[in-house]
Amino acid sequence: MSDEPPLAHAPAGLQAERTRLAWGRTNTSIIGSAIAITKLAGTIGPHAVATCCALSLLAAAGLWLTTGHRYRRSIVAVDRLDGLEFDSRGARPLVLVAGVATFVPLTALVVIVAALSTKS
Amino acid sequence: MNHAAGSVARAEQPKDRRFPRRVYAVGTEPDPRFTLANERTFLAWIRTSLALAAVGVALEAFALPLDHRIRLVAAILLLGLGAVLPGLAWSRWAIVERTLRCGDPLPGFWLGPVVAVGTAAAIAVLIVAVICS
Repeated sequence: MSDEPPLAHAPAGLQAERTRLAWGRTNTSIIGSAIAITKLAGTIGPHAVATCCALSLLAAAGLWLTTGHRYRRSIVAVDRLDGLEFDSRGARPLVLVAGVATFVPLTALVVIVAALSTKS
Repeated sequence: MNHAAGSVARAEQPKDRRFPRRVYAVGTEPDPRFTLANERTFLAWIRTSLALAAVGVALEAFALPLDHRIRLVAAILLLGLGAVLPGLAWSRWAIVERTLRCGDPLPGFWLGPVVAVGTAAAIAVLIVAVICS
């Protein structure tokens, strides 16, 4: 038997780290899509763009804070191989990220269709 | 002996109030590595949705020299798919997490074909726009 400490999460495929990085990439994508929306300023006006961007960036900031918390909880969960109370918030951050990802294309869709109906 | 001690420890833990109840109210706690893998798959779908939305916005915002109406159809297809995908991804996450908790075999993969067909349709429309312009 080896004398190494029974720290499980590193040999388990760095699951917690990979998940944290996936959250980071998603957060970067949210910021990127907020930037893409600014390209529609000519169509929807600066106020709508500012609201869209502010909401996206606020969600990104919230997710950034939650991610650190989830990361620490998931290291403990993987080490113990016990998921119970893995995160007391449950899947709420997933709902938030799904909400933002729905909101961005929906806004663009409404804007484009509205521009279409005013033109015709 | 150990098993009995574990049961006592589990009974003393606070009541599980995690959201959503339709997922966490059933089955037993799965290996956290599977839970994390499910979460990463969900996030990958979210990024796919954001990428589709970004392409849809770019098509209209940069006013590419393509037939206006066909370009608009492609943009609406991409944005529509981008708007629907996060909801489908959430639903898929919940189904897979429930399945993991119950120890059942994973359900069929219906989300992939939906996105593949939608993206292929948008690309086909764009090809038509390029040919027509």
